[in-house]
Amino acid sequence: MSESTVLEFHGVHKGFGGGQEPIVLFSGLDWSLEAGRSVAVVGESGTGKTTLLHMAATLERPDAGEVLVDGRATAHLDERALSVLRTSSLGLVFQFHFLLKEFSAVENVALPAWLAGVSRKAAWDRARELVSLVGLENRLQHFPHQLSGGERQRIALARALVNDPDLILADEPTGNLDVRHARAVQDLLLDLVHRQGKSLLLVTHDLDFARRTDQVLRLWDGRLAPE
Amino acid sequence: MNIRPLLFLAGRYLKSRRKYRGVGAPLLSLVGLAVGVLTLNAVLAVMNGFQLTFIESLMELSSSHLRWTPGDGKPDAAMQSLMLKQPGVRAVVPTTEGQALVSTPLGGRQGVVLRGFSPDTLKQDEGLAKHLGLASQAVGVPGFPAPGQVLLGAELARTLGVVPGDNVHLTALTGPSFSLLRPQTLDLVVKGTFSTGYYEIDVGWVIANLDDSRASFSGPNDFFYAIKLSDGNADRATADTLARVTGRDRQEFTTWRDYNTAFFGALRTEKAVMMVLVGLIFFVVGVNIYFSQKRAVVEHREDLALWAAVGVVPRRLRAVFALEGFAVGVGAALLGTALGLLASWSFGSLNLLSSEAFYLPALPARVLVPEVVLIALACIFSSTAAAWLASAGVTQNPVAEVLKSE
Repeated sequence: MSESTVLEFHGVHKGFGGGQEPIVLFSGLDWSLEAGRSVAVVGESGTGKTTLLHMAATLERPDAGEVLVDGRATAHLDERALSVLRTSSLGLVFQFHFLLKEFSAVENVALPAWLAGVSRKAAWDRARELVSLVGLENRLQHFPHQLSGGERQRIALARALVNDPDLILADEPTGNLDVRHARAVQDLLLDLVHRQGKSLLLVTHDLDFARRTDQVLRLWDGRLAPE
Repeated sequence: MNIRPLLFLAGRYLKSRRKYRGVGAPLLSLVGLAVGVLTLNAVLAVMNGFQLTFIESLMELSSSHLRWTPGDGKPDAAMQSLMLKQPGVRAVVPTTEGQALVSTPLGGRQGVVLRGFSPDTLKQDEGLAKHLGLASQAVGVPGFPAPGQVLLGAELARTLGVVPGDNVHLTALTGPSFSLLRPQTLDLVVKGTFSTGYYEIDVGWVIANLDDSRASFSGPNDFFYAIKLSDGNADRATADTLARVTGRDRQEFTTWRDYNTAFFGALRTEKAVMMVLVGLIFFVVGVNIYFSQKRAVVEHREDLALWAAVGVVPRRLRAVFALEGFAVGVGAALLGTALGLLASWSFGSLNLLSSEAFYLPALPARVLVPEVVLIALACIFSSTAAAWLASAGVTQNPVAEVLKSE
């Protein structure tokens, strides 16, 4: 492993059964992401972009091959070890915000840290700081149903950062937003790469957003090729 | 493991559920369990009341804790004194027990249990005197009968139509062996009546003077010393001690367990069956909690997927759902226990049953703390276990599938 890579795929195979013939998404994928870089993956629907992201997030296991996160092989890690890895190294942002409706904005951001073992006070301090970073310091106590779509997605982004991950995995983070709000979220994500040295793996259909990253890759037939 | 975040989550989910779906299912579970705890506590308190009161009365009136039967059927004052000196021995009373026929000059007659006591038994055995309930004493000084006198159970006197001061005849077959049995009859004055509160005793017992009884109605095996102990459960140990100290054969001492085994076994079985029957409430409510929590897990599958995605170990989240079951169990145990104790208390202080119809001055209720604790723990366990089992789905949530489905 190169010291500057945060994510590596080695000979990854992944397919899905069912139907008359199984679908093969990846057969021997080799690819890596260097630290401090932002990469966008584009491609048609059904080519496996989200599956690629889920394997990077250790939410899905490859059928064969190995995925390394922060230099750690993940194939043989148990659920507890994977949870620790996700907490310490990964921040996930989805197309749908997945905010918990029972909790306020600051609670949504703070809880993953509190559950990970950070003290309550430290978790809430960090959450307030991040909610301010995404420009919603006046919305701390609001519940998801009291926020706009763009605000929810910014809170979801703050939640992804609460445990200070090295690698941010974002799946269509602006897919549900209007142009103005989409731009604000894009700026935030790219700013994290440029100013804080985070790495970003972005899956998107939005070519304009993709082109703002350091590299655009197209996923086609199980392979990643420069756009 | 820091449980505070889990408590926070559980509390918020419960609050949200109350807000959006009402408190129907948890409240129903809580009420169901509380009713179970209330019923078990109240029923067992009354059963204990009957059982323990009856056992105590039985020990004091009839069987005593230990019996020593002299082989020759004669009183042994030295032995009596020696036994009385042993630790834990409260009273040693010479007595006889046999069967007789009581009849009146007007033609009333009835078969009875004939017990013989000496007049100073009142001083020797306060427990017996207290439980006997000497009701009315018209002849001589209050207490046990002098020679020529007899005490009748109050119901027996009523049945025979006699009052203190009347004469009755006692007839019994006595003799050293079956082939030598001969009828003996004595004319005795009714000194008074007694009322124990137990119909079988009040209608079937006659107490005569010990000397009259020994001389006229008893064989050698009918005479024994009734031994009362401070701790009724120390019967076997005390019997061993008495046999050792007095140099007698251990077989000469019999304990209340020997001659009441079947009866107390039946009481224990009755109580166990009652606990199982009423305890089924816990099972039924447990099933309700199980399905309610299972539904809650399904409703929160997106939340659970998210927690897994942000790095929370799914097993930890099981506790969030089990905590609701635990909270319901604790609430029901507290409420049910409080109401059960209140009900048990009110049974004793309210005249719920007619004393004439049921021959009871009041419904006896006796609360045993270990049983109350056991019932409360069973309640908490059943609801927590049901919720814990239902929350197994937390660890089987297909995270990627759920996230993709959005």
